[in-house]
Amino acid sequence: MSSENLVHFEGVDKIYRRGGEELHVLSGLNLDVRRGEFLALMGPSGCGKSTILNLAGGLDVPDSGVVSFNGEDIGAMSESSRAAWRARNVGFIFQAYNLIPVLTARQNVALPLLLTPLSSAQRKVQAAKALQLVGLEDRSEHYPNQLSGGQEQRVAIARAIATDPAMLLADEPTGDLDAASAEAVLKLLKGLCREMGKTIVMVTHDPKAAEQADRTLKLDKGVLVQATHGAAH
Amino acid sequence: MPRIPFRLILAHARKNKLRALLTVGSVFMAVMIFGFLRTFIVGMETSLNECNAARVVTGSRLSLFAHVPIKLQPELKALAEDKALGITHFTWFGGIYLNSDPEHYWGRFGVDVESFRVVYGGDLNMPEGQWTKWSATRQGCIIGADLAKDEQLTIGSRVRVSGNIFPGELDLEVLGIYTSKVRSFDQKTMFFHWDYMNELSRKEGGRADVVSTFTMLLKSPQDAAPLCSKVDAEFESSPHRTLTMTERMFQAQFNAMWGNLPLFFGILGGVVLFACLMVTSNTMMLNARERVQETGVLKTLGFTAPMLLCMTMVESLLLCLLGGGLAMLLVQSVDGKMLMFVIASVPPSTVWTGLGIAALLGVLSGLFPALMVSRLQIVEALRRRA
Ligand SMILES: Nc1ncnc2c1ncn2[C@@H]1O[C@H](COP(=O)(O)OP(=O)(O)OP(=O)(O)O)[C@@H](O)[C@H]1O
Ligand SMILES: [Mg+2]
Repeated sequence: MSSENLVHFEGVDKIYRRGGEELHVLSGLNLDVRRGEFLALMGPSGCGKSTILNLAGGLDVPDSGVVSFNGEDIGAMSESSRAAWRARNVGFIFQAYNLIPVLTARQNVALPLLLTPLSSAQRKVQAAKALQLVGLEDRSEHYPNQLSGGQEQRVAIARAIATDPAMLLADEPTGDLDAASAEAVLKLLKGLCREMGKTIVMVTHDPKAAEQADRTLKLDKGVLVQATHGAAH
Repeated sequence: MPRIPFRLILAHARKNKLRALLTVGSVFMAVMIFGFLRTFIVGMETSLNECNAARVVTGSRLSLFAHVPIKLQPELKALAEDKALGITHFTWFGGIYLNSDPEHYWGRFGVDVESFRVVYGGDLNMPEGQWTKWSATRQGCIIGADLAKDEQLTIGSRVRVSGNIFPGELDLEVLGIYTSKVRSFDQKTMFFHWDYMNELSRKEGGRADVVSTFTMLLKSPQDAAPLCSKVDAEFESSPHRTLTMTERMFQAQFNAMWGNLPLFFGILGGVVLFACLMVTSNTMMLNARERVQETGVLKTLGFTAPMLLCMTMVESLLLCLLGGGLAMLLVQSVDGKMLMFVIASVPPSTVWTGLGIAALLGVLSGLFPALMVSRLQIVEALRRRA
């Protein structure tokens, strides 16, 4: 593994068991995510894209093989140290935004900051900064149901970057959005990669979205079938 | 110490106001029932303990309202031999002050000042000067501090009470205001010279030379029981049959009147607490079920299983302690007041037990949801749609 890689999958197997049936989603997968790149993952539904993101972000662990981050084996960590590692290093963005409906935009963004040593005042400032970065400082007191889908997703991005993690994992972030909102979100992600050096892995079905990435990996039945380099360098 | 998102807990309660309110309300009711029940039982016990076992009260065997002649006093004294420190008497005057509204119907007794002080002086506080003045003034009276407040009377006020049991109108001047040292001594009572009311009644053609009860203060409570039997035996075949018992026996008899009621209420209280536990458990379970996805998100952000367990427990404890706390505030507010003829007594132990029950409700109803929430697998939780 070279130091230009942030995430490294080596011989990763993932098997789901349901009532005696085994489903081999990933078998011996090898994959590298380079530091500071914007990587797109494409492939048919059910091929294991979300599974890969979950493994990369330590939401789940492989059945065999190694997933490492900065050379550290994520699967070997205890549950609680993996949670702490996630809080420091990974920001998640979901298709369904997954904001907490009873909290305002600012409170949603400030939530992961509770896990940092920052004081309450510092957390406020940091949350405001993150909201400003996604252009929603004037919506900070709005609740999720008072925002449009595009705005909700931008708040979710602000929450993902609030703790300044090195890596962002986005699972179909534009899947529920109209074209214009999708474009804004993609522009934002690209900017975060270019200007703030975030490493981004994005799962998408949309070829137009994938075009924004530096590199696109195509997956089929848990096997990488094709890699293309985006024109956006 | 990890930081728990209190704001999130409060936000949930705000979002689901009705559910939170009903939960708090049910704990409030249950803990309140417990609190009042215990207050009543403790009140009975303390009333009993505060009652002087060395004071023996003799009255008519016929009823509480019948009279005994004053001429029994020397005979009683003789029966007590050297065991009594003093003997005094009380006479319930009744009558009407201002009008017949119940708030003006407080106790008023004719007494003999010197012996009253010997037998009951230890139960109340009053400046020496006021004792002296009252003793020397035939139409003087003293009143309790609560009565002074309620009727807005002060030293020098005139009090006119027209009699119904004893004819004639008492015309009294307030010469002293006392406070009680023991709760069993009422602060809403007036005392005046028996001589004055007796003469007045005689002049108006009413009954004279009678009292309601005699009280003897004994040197030792051990002498009380034999003396009681001795007195009642003595007057057994006289026209004035007596009933004699210690103040403490009187209270015990009164307490016994309630019989098994406290036990019945205790069982009822237990049932109510159990019903309350079901309400709070249901609330916390519903909360946990509705927040599966949110739990997944929190765990994704890096909140650990112990933190989420904590969060659920804190939420459950907050709801229950809020209800329990409000209930105990209400219960505490009756401390020292008369409650169903018993002086309510709310010692700190009642408050702590009430809060303890509330906390226990919180722990029991939060435990299973908290375990469920903390054990939830992130990937599973995120896949489930709310
Ligand atoms: N927890 C689970 N239990 C059982 N099977 C699962 C579980 N999670 C995923 N799977 C199965 O594993 C396969 C891969 O799932 P995954 O979510 O990674 O696919 P995906 O590529 O993200 O699909 P989509 O594009 O539809 O989101 C699917 O067939 C899915 O049904
Ligand atoms: Mg998926």
